[in-house]
Amino acid sequence: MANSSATSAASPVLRNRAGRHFRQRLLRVDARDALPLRLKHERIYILPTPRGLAFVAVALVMILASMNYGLNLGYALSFILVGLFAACLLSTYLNLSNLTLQSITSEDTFAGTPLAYELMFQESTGRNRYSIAVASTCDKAIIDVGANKQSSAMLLTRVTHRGEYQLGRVTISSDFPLGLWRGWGYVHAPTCTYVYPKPELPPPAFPLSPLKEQGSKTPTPHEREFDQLKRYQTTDSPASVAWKTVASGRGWFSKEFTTTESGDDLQFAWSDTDELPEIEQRLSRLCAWIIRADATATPYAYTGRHDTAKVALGPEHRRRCLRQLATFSSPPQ
Amino acid sequence: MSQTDQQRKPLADSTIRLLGVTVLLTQLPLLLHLPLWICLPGALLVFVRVVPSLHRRLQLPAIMMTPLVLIGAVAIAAHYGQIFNRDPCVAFLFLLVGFKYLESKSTHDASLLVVLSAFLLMTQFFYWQSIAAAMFAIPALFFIGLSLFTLQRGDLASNPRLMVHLTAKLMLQAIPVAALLFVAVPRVSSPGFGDGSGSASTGLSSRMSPGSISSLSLSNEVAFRVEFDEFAPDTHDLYWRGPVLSGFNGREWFILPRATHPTFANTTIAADTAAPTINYTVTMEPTPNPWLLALDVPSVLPGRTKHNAKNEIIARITEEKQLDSLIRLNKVIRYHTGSVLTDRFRSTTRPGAEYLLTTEHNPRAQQFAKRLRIEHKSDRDVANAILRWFSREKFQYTLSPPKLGEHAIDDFLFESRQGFCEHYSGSFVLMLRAAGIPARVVTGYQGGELNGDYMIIRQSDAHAWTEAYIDGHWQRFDPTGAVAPQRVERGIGEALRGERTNSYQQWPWVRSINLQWDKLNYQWQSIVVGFDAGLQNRLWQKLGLQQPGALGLILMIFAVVAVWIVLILAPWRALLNRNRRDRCQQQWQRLCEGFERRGMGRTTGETADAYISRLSRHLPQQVNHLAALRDAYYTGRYGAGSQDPAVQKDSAAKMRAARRALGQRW
Repeated sequence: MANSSATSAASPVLRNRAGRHFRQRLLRVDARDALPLRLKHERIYILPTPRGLAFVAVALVMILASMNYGLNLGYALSFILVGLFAACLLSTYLNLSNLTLQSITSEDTFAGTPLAYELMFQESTGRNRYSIAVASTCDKAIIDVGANKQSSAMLLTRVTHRGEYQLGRVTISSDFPLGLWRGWGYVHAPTCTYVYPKPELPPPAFPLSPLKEQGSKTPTPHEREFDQLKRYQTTDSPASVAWKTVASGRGWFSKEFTTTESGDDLQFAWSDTDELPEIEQRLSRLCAWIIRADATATPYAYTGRHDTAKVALGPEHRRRCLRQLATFSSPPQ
Repeated sequence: MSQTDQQRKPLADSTIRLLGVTVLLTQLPLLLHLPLWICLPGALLVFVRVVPSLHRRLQLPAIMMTPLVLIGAVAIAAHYGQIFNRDPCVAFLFLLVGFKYLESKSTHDASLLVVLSAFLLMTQFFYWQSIAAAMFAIPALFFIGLSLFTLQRGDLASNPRLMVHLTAKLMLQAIPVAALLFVAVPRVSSPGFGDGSGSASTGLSSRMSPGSISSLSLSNEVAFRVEFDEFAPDTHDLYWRGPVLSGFNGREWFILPRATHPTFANTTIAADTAAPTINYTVTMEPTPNPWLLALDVPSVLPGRTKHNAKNEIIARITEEKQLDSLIRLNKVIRYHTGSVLTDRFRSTTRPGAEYLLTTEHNPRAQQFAKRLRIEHKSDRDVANAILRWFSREKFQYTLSPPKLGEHAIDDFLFESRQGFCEHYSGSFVLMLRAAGIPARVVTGYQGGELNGDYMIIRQSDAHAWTEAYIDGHWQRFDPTGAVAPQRVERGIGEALRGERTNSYQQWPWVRSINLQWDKLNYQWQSIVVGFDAGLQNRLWQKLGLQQPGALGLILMIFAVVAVWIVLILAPWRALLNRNRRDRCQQQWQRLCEGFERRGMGRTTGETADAYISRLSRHLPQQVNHLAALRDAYYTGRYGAGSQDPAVQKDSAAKMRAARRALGQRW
């Protein structure tokens, strides 16, 4: 009895596994593609568009009429249309095949502002690509990619809630040249972007800490030594920008600070926001504090469940703290 | 969802104008075939929108559209007397495309419009299939492609040159497939349903009265063309037999209904004749008449080759040796037939009283004939006496005879004495009948113009002659020949020299261009327009193939299409560039490609030097080979002797050796 149930249970599992493999192969439901990815024939689907169907239907009617009336020129014209239909199939395929999706980049953002993904395409076969439509579930961009050139498409996602976001499956399609066929391929690469809580407005005052009351002075960023330069990201605070390198034309960098002194530093704890009823409001306030501390270059730390944490400054630290807020799931006990 | 958004998107101005040009180009050939009252509004609807200043002033309210279309449909139905037939449908489609264009707003509308115009473009072939028809179709077809392209790209203005170039490329790619299908798709030789009056010229008629044939003589239109299997007979033997007119009502000659026979049972060609049999293929232009033409006297029933290579008989023969077609002649027909070149044939049945019928009209002519009857003993002598009289008296062969009275033949024979072949043959038959000899008028064509390996017979070659029943045979007499022997010997142009002022024959260079043009037309007609089961079969034979079955045909189409696909998909640019680019660059490219496969591809913008150093860091044990490769690359590409092919070759060889050492085989 037990034996038979075990075997009958095994086959749905197997079927499920085969089904999942098949679905992954056809529809790329899971994010398993590694970038850069070259669109190969195995990934490209082509079907006629409604316009293409109408076109070929008219060609067939024309062939029937030519048969009925014995019109050889009618045959010739309809066969040219059929040939055109076939040639478009190949053109549509060639327009998509061997196009490389080089990378998908995105930057963390705050809830309520759009989340932007930049998809970089690389053409390396020496063929101009036209009207490549790149679509996620909520946005679509159409780009041309020149022969042996790079071109990027920007896809926006409107995010209202904090959290960890994925771009999901991207559909790269094209109905070039005559809109008679649509070729498409799915790319589902793993992406991870964090959406921070919406910072409270107007920015609230820092929580009163016993250390702060002693009135020790906080050194300004100019007085601090920074450890290294990091590439500037739009979410980095302007206070940490290494303006010297910008001015000398070497590019945009942010200064990374670490500090060991802890006397005058800010420790933002969950309990500091006890007067607020909602979790999201509390997170918003914490977020606003972190941004403000970063902007004024006051070393800070988000302690979370713990009593104290190591204070620091700099984009990396800020990102770490804000990501903690973004992925916050339950209040500490 | 974005798909439908795109479909709803309003059209750019340049797109609207391009669509207008496309529609006008597809309407253009139909302007020659549809009634003017349909052409004008149909084309105007389009024109009004194409010209921006007009469009701003004349906007048709949308609510007017449906009533106007309905009015158009009713008017067309009233004009043609019906609506569900070919011609009214074409006319309606013509109008409809105009209306559709006027109200097209979105990409969706425009797609439908383009597809409709493609169909409209085809409808012109119902009416003509000449070279001109094809010439009209080519630009229209190109614009159909360009319109679709514009709809896909959204706007033509962004890069018109590129789009024209790419459309042309697509068209060229389409042609091999089209040609393959054209040749390989089996032709059904069934006449189908629906009527095909077409633009067939009238040609010979079932009735003949003074003036009916001379009106044809002004037309240079081709009636049919003939290819002889062996040789072309002399001009005086070229009597192309058409309808036989035995009935007479005093003024007109007409066909009497006759039983048709599937064989030559009732009449035989004179056994004593030593005349040669001649076989030939006739390519008939479309005609509304039901007769086929064959050289006098037809001896083989006309047949055409069916798709299974069998001969299909397409005509029956009457006891008067008139060929009645079994099929509609509304399109170009090719048939093969044979004749015995003789002017008399035996008839087993004695002709009935209808061949002796005269009326009370033309008393003088009848009296004259009766007098001759008394003077001459045999029937043949009577006939010859009349012919001699024609040549002796001052008869004149002319296209523009004076008007004749009620007794037309009397007036002609004894007063005006100016006439065309219908006057001579008609009066001759009347006189024979009055003399008690059974006789009838035969119409058809006489002569023809050799153009290379084929002969052209035009409407102007139309002719009428006579047959008389003498000694158990029907004997041909051509009274026109008695008056104007050159008509029979050298053709109509010679006989009427100076009179037919519109004739191209006047200037030799016009004549030569005309003949070349006709040759082209004939080849077009016989190879392209007349491409049928028979020609298809001959083509297979020429290729050394059996007529392929359905499966064979499909396999063959698949094979050719596969070659076509490979030819298009092959990376020609890369292959060609590989040869053109210098060898060192080629080796370098292969190196990069090889390492790219191993996950160490060159990043964009990385110099050769930087790339080699990076590879060296990854592959410390290969540093020597990598350095050698880099040095050879720099020597061959940028070194002092890099312009010298020998240096390049040498460097390339070194690079190749280094690549081998690095484990790259290809």
